[in-house]
Amino acid sequence: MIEVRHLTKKYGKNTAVDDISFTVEPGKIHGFLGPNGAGKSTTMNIITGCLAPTEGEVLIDGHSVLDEPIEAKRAIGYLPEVPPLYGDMTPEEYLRFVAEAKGVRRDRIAEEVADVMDSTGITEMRRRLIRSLSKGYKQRVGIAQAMIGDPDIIILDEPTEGLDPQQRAEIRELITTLGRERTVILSSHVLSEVQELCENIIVISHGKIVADDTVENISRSLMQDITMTLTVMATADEVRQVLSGIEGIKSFDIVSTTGSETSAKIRYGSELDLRETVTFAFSDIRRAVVSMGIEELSLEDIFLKLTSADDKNDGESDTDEGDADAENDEEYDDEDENVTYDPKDYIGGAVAAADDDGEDEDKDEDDGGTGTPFGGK
Amino acid sequence: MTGYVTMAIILAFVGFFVTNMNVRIGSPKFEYSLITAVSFFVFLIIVPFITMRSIAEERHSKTEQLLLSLPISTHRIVLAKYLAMLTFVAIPMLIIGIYPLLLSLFAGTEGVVNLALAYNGWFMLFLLLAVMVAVGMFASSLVENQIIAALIAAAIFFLMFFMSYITSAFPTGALPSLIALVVCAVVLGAVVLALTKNSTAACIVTGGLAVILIVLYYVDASMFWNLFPSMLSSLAIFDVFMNGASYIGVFDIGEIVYYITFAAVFVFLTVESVERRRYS
Repeated sequence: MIEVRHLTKKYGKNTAVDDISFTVEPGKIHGFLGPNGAGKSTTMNIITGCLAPTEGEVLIDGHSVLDEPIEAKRAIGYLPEVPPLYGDMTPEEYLRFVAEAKGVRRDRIAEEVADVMDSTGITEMRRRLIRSLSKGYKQRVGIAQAMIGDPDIIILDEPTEGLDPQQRAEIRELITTLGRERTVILSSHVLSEVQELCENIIVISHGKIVADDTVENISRSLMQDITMTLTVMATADEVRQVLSGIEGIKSFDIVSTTGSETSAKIRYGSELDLRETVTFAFSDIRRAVVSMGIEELSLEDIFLKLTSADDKNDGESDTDEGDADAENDEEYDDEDENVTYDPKDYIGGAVAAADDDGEDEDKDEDDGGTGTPFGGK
Repeated sequence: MTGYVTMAIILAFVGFFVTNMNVRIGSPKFEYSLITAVSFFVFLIIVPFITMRSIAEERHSKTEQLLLSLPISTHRIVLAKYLAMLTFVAIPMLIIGIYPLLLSLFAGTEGVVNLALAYNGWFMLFLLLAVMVAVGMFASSLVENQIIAALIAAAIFFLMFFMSYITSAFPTGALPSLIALVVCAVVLGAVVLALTKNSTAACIVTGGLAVILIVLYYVDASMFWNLFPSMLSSLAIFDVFMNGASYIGVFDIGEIVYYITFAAVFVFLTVESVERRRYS
């Protein structure tokens, strides 16, 4: 179990991590999510003892990382943002070295290295130089290194960053396997990945935790309104008339009218399900519903809501945050003016990378088309 | 690869001096060949190449994070690196150690090789290299770029090499020493400020030392006579080897203690320098 208590890390006047506390229960895969520069890597470096906090403490199974580093570190395997590999060693030599350094018993080393190479799928590469391996294999060697010594907790800092979709899928599979027997904490700014892999997520923004819960709970708590997109073969007036008559609708807009079709956006509380009501209301006046869609709040939207809310609260006291922040503010300004706003631009590289997966491409277009996820606010 | 090349260069240069002086000219003084190798800067240039990567490269390639997250204390990591480099220097030194035995098979123009003197010089050279490796490792722990690490190490070595010239140029009076030491106190304060970012601590260090120095000066100014130059000359590690016991041919415990202490101080400073990164 990891207990993080009131952790603060300052670099000069810059506060990278600002009084964060959380507990990671054993088992499961935990996600650590936040935009670049939010303090994810700093927090992970502190948990693993690579950095000392300015204030606060981290307990690993009851051992303070600062006061009893040897005991605490023994329970952790860590893959930093850049895999710490020696290019002029082969994976086998490297893993032997790590095993010796972690104090694996000499007669167990060969067996353990072979096991770890087997489960990370690098056995056939074991005699090549690490330098000449592909990025995906290097990442595997990095994960193998974290697994050596059979630690209970494995911490992975952006393990799929910079990999191609095929490699990404393979690493995810590996992480899922790891999560069956150990506690895995993984950081990412690739939202779909966290959504897919993790049961719990901690969202961090500007060095503060803005959410710490299961994916479902976070979604539920933030899902206040449901937006329904509707296309009906009717005139705008008819649509207006029908929709005003339905109870539970908070607001609606006529988006467009093309020929005999009218499109509308309807907003209503998440406790209701108005799909049937709306369909029957239009069939009552013999008008056909051509299409109907419910926009579900994706983790990306949650993420944006959380981080932007944080931004607005802190807006005025933002004195010690750097350029990244200024950029964000700019983006939010755009959004306030209701200029078509693509959340993808904001998370930039993150989602560009997520697009590689191809899974959520449709949804992406959708988001782009409908404009602001915060539209009504 | 760098390793084998540097070993080869050490062997080639020492071999050249031994061939020239002991074989061709026929001098039985093996230790003088080693002194000549040092005085021609062979080790001053080679040692930085051995030490430059030791810590700077770990930082540059981010493998430092592996070392820091391992369940091993920093001083063990640094000591292991130091001993590894020492082993590395010991290999060519062991090969060189065979030379006196080979030379002793033949009589030179001025008699046979005195093995005791030869191995005294050889042992002192090894200790000198141990000090240089410690200093080079410390230089490597200061920066991320290995070339800069090598340049810093080489600069320190050359400064130490020419220390006697530098100190002889310094006035021997009491007041110049006082001024120099107060300047040192200010520099020390700046270092404290850079390390701890605590201006109060820096002021206390600088102010305290300056006050103590000035009070001592007024109590007994003669204490300060030639004090600074003699302090500087204690950094002249090369003079100890070249003009000291190995040259005269005496086995001097004081020099051995001096070298070991010097090396230990720099290994300790390296540990602190690596550890400091956690707190940066």
